[in-house]
Amino acid sequence: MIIYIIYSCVCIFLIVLKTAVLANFTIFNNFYDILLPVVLYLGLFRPVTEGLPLVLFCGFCMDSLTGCPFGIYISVYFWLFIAAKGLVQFFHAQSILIKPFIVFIGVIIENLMFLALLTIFDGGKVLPESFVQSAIAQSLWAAFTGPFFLLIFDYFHRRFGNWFDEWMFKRKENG
Amino acid sequence: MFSKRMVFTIAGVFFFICCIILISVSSRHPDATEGAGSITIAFVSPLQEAVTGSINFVKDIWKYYFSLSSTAKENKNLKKSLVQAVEKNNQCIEIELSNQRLRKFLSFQSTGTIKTVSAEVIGKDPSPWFKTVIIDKGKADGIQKGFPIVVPEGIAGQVMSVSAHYAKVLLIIDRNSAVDALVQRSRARGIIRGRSAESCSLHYVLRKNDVRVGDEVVSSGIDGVYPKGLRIGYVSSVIRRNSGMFQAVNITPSADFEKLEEVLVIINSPGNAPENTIEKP
Repeated sequence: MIIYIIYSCVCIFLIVLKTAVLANFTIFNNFYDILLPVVLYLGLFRPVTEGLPLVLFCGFCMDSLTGCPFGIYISVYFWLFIAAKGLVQFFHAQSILIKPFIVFIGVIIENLMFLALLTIFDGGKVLPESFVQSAIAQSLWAAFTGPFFLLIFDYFHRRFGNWFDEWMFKRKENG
Repeated sequence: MFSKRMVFTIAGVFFFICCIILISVSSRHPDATEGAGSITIAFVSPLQEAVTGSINFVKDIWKYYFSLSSTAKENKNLKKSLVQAVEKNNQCIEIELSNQRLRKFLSFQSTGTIKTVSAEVIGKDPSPWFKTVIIDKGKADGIQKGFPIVVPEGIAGQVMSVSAHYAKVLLIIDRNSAVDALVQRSRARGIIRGRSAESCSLHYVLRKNDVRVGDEVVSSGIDGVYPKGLRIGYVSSVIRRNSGMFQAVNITPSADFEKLEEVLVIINSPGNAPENTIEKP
C-alpha cells in the first residue's frame, strides 16, 4: 500500500513541477510529458499489480488537468505500459539497449498516439502547425534527460526498498 | 478454465473498448466527465498555488529590491503616460456622457458596465498540445463554467471546469477554442480558432470582405460568451486563394499567453445570465 502512496505523491510532485515551476521558463515550453518516464519505469521494472493502478492514476491526473478529451492520457499510458512490459519479454530491463533510449522512443510513440487519437476523435479541427517542430524538441529533451529520470527513480526505489525492509525487520524484532 | 495470458488479452481488449467509448463520449460531451476532472484540480491546485506563490514571492523580492534603478526610470515614464491617460480619461468621460444622452435620445439599450473578479494563474497545462491554465478562483467566488476570462490586453479564454476554489481556463489559442469575432475596421465576421502555437486563425471570412494586415479583431458578442467589442488581436497575414468561398486570416492575439499571471473573470457578461450559462447552479 505504501508504494502506491509514494508513487502517487511522486506523480503529483512531477505534475506540480511541470505546471507551476518549469512553466515559468520558456526554455521548457517544449519539454516532454514529465510523467512518461514514471510510466515507462513502472512498465520496465515493476510488476503489473503494482504498476497498472499507478499508471491509470497518472493518466487520470493528466486527463483532469489538461484540456484534452477525458481518457486520452489513460489510454496512451496504458498502451505504453503494455509496450514496456512487452519489451522486457525480449530484452533485459537493465539492458544497455533499453535504458538510454526508452524515454526517447516513448516520447515519439506517445506523440504518434496523440496524433492518431486527436485526428480520429477531434476530426475537422486543425492540428497545431508546430506539431513536428514541438515533437522533435520533445524527443531531444527526452534523449538527454530521460535516462537520468530512470536512474533517479531506480536509485530512490532501491533506497526506499532497503529502508522499508530494515524498518519492517526492526519492527518484527521488537515484536 | 482460462490461461493467464487469455485473461490478460481479454482484459486488454475490454480496456481498449472502454477507452474508445470514454474518449468519444468526452470529446463530444465534455460535461459528462467534468466531475472527475474537478476532483484532481481540487487536490493538485493547492500545491500549485503554494509553489506559484513561493516563486512569485522570490520574483517580487528581485523586482522590488534589486531592480530599483530601472524602476525609477520606468516610474518617470509612467508618470508621463499617466498624465496623458488622465487627459484621455477626461475626454472618455465626456464622450461616455454624450453617448448616454444620445442613446437615451434614440431609445437604445444601455450597454452597462462589466463586473469582474480578479484571479491569479497558478498552473499551466502539463501537456504541450493543449493550452489551459488553472486559476485560484472557483465556485466559492461566484465563478461558473463558461465565464469569459480577459486581461487588460484583450480576451484570454473561458472557464471550462470549476471546483470549489479553483477553475480550469481554456485559452483562445487552444485548438478546441472558438470565439465569434469581427474585424473592427470592415466589420467582417468570422470564428477565431486556436492553433496551439501562440496564434489563432479567423475562419469563415468571405473572400469579398475587406481584411488587411494590421486590422484589429474584436469579439462580436454573438456567441453569448464574450461581451461585444473586447480586443482579441490583430491580423498578421491574409491569404486569398483563387478558389473557395473564404479567405485564410491569421491572427496574433493581443494577450501574451507566455506571461499570463493575473486575469479577470467577467461575471456579468450577457452570456452569463442564469438561463445562458452552461452549468446551472
